[in-house]
Amino acid sequence: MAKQQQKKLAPVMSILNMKGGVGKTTISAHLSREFYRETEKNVLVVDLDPQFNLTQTIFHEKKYERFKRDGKTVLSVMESPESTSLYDTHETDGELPDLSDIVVNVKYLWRGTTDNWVARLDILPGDFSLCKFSLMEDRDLIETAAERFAKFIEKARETYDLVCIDCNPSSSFLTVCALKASTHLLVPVRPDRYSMLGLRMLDNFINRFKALAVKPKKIIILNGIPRGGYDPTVENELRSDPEYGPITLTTSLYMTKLLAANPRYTGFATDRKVAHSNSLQSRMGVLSRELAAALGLK
Amino acid sequence: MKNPDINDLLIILVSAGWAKRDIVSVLMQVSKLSSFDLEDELSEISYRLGEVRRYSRIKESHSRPLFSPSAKKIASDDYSDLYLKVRDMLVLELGLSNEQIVSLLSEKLGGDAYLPPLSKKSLANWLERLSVYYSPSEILHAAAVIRERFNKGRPLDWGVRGES
Repeated sequence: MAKQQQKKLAPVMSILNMKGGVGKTTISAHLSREFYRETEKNVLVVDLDPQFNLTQTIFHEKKYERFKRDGKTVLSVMESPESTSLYDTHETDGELPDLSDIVVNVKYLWRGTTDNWVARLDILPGDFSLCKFSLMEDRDLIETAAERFAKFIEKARETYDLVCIDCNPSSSFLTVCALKASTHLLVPVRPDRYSMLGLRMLDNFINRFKALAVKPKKIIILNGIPRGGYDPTVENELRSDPEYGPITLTTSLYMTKLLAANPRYTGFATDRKVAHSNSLQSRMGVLSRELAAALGLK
Repeated sequence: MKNPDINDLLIILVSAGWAKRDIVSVLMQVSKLSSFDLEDELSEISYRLGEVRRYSRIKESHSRPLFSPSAKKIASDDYSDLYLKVRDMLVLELGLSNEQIVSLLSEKLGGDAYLPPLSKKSLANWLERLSVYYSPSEILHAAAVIRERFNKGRPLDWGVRGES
């Protein structure tokens, strides 16, 4: 009798750098959008940054208020939706919500009929209330949250082809949750000295983190390359480094105003009908293919 | 663009990575120069380039004209980032020939692994075929190490790795 083939668990990729302003959120949002389209894979993006900028990039405020009311944010993963305030949580574990009850579908591809799904891009919106976990000192309370998050990610790995986690730029409890759940880390760096320091800090943090049984594989992406007058000195040093060089994607992202936060546009920059959005989409597509190969998803 | 000379000049500037705004600004300034001043500037540039060639590692036989029929293609999206970056580091910066690049990259990646031979087509094609056996990141890393070996410059004040 043929053995029933077990579904391979999806890779979990945290987008992380200890330095802020390197493009973590921008890359999380736009790369996952093109990744899903280019590779036709099911992708879930988890906004684990209490600043929830990724969520604000994609959803209008009114829509987000509805998600909050319905418990469709990452807070429902960290604690069961009982009476809690911004300053406290509870020790009871509670049932984890079903994936389908809390994730929000933002894009989908179908063939023929609408019920013939090919791939979908789902997002688990972020929540400002997550910041309370970084302020708590009671280990039992935050352990409960950490266990719930780990279980949730394991469930997501069975459902999706790729799970992305947008992280905050610090060594907080939330970063630890993301690291423990991750098989890969996508580390955006800008070709400047400060960004490289962030890369080293991340390395030190991971190497000294004893609770991490298996270290996630790093993938580095260069972001914010100037289109004119670019000095590649830092990039050349990064690429020739024996550890960082072989894991730095060849496809880089250029500086573009399209990816900057726009107060009058909510959504993916590659969906905008403006100049350069096609070329940005095409570059993100090339990057997605290279990333898929690096993740073993080709 | 109706005038092919202007078109060629613009291709050179775009290929060199100039921003649109910078190109427009420079062309506006150039249009204000007298032909005498312009000739003077060009003579000065020719002299300085000659000096650079004399003292740099770039051999005349390998130095490529900045504009050639193949450079026209470089402005397009036909080439991968891998090729463009290998070209920048090993062809334009070090002045290596395709054969030298293939030999050095093969040696660096080498071992017993199979490496495709350089066909008559191009270096871009060879790199594409090489990408079947090695990830583009590994190939570019090898190219960066080769560049560093030939081109030892002043170390960065804050290196990528540091002392930690």
